[in-house]
Amino acid sequence: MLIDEILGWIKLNLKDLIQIVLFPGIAFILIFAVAATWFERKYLAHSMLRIGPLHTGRVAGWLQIIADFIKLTGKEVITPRNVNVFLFNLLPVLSVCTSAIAVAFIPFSSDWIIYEGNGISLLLFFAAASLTPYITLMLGWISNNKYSIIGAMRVSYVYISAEIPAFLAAMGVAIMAGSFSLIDIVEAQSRIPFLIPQILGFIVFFIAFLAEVERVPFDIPVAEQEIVAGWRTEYSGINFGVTMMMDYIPLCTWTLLFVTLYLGGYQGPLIFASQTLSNFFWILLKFSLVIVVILLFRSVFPRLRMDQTLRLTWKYLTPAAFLNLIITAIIAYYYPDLFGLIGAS
Amino acid sequence: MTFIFRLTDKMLRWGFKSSIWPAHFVNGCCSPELMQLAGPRYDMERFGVLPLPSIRHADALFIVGVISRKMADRIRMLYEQMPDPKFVVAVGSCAISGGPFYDSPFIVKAEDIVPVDVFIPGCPPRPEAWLQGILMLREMIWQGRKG
Amino acid sequence: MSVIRFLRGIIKPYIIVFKHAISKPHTIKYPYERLMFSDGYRGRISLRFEKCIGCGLCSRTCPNRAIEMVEIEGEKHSFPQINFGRCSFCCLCVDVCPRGALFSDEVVELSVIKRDDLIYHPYKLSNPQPLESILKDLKKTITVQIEDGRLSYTLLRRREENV
Repeated sequence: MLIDEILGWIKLNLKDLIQIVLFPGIAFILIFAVAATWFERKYLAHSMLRIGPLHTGRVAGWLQIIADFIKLTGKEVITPRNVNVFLFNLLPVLSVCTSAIAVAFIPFSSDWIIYEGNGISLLLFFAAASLTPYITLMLGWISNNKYSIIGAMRVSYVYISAEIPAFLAAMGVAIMAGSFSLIDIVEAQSRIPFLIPQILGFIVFFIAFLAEVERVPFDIPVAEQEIVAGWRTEYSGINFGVTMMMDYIPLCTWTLLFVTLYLGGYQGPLIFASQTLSNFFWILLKFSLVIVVILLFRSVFPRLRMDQTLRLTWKYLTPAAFLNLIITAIIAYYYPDLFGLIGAS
Repeated sequence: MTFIFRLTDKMLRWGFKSSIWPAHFVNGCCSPELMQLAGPRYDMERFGVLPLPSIRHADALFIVGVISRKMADRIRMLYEQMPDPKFVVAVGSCAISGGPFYDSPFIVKAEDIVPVDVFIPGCPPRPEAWLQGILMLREMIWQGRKG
Repeated sequence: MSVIRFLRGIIKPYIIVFKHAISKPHTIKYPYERLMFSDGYRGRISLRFEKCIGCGLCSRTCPNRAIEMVEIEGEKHSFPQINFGRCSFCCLCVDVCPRGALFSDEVVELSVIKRDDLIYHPYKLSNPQPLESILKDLKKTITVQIEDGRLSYTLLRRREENV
């Protein structure tokens, strides 16, 4: 009786369940985190003419990350004196959950999205993605360590200063598409991706989202030479493994948003028989290319100082984003026909 | 039940063996050899040996070079901050037995302050010797021995 | 102009690093391959037992006092015993030996698990462990040579030809 009810409920919500558990949801994000960690280690090693992980696993050390995680589960978990034990052990897991929420608003096809968001999914994405620095701040605060608290403060500095230009740049896209819905934004790019008409916004958003996901050259919150390991200094064992994985989840969600806003999202020529599969292929291809470009920054560029980052974001990116927004708004108000030429509404 | 325990034990030993994250405590001139080891020519990351900044994330402690009496306390403190299971590698003649300063009253041997698992002699040891010490540590972990 | 220079400063290193990323790595896969050291490299010190006359010059010249002369049952004189945990591989003992009884080879793999194993008794000193038994996986050795004024590590030789 109960089983029938449960089976019926599963049958009714099969698509939602697949979306949440498998493809854009939990499994995809976890597999991405593991694969990106392995790929980054191999890629950076090759860029330094090294080999990287090799002897763990037969082919190219593919078992290395799994070995790391097995080891971290076997390590002792140290809880420092005078900390709230419950929160100290809960927050790493919570950080992964909160940073993964944002993937729910990314369209992988016109009918493959966890939550459409009633036409404001862009705003909901920013709201969900902004939860991560709160958790990071709490992680650093609760560790009762000076390096952790300095790292946590740096997270909040960088995040706030980068969030504003990123949001303002995204507003230009929203004006061009005439909607806050990410599906509408992707559909508006059917003829030409917003990379070309929104080139200034593209540059601003690219730099700002690098700062938000703490990639080099903006990785000051975990600067090894200044503050030992930033906000994750005190975490050991599997807690550290979880925080390390949590680094890659914002990278995943923000890169997906970047692809959706500026590179045409899931749009692309039909190559498979099914439209949905073709859309998956195109968004994953663009996503992988952007990830490959971003990961190499780590072995190319030096780290910016705190004041240099803040000067860049407040003094140059924010006015540039405003300029972009104003130009887009003027064109949208006085010459709406121009948008018709490139296919936007 | 025994089978599951054995399997888990084997998996854990494999994990510990194939991802040793060292923290290095360098007091002497053996550090250029460590740079060689992490660099392109000898690349210790092939074995999953990845140097990390914080002692809380470390599995192995490389004690490199001369240990004075003042430094001995710090090394003991670092050792106690590491999470279990932890391994210690003493590198270079100075850390093993004092080296050229064998008769100095201010020099402490690594074995007198922390339990050392692998000794790598040399002045300084070549990267080959260092890597062989790491391989020895891997083999030791795999066989479940403590040095 | 400054904008162009700025952009060039960003793009040029990126291209260089990307070229490295797709080129062949320089790594010597150590337990399987090994670099041949140059002639006269000062590694492990060994003893030719029958040549030693027990003069003790090596023990007196050793700057680290790593060499100790020990008596052996049934022999007429004492023999050097080296503590490799204290030795700094300066090979002054090799230079000073009047009979050429001490010599150094290019084995550097001396790591041990117990510190007492680093003290080499004269018998152990005169029976040096060959490299093949230390590195069982060794397949290739790599030699260094100078080509057109640049160091080149590319020449690979099968190990059988070298030994």
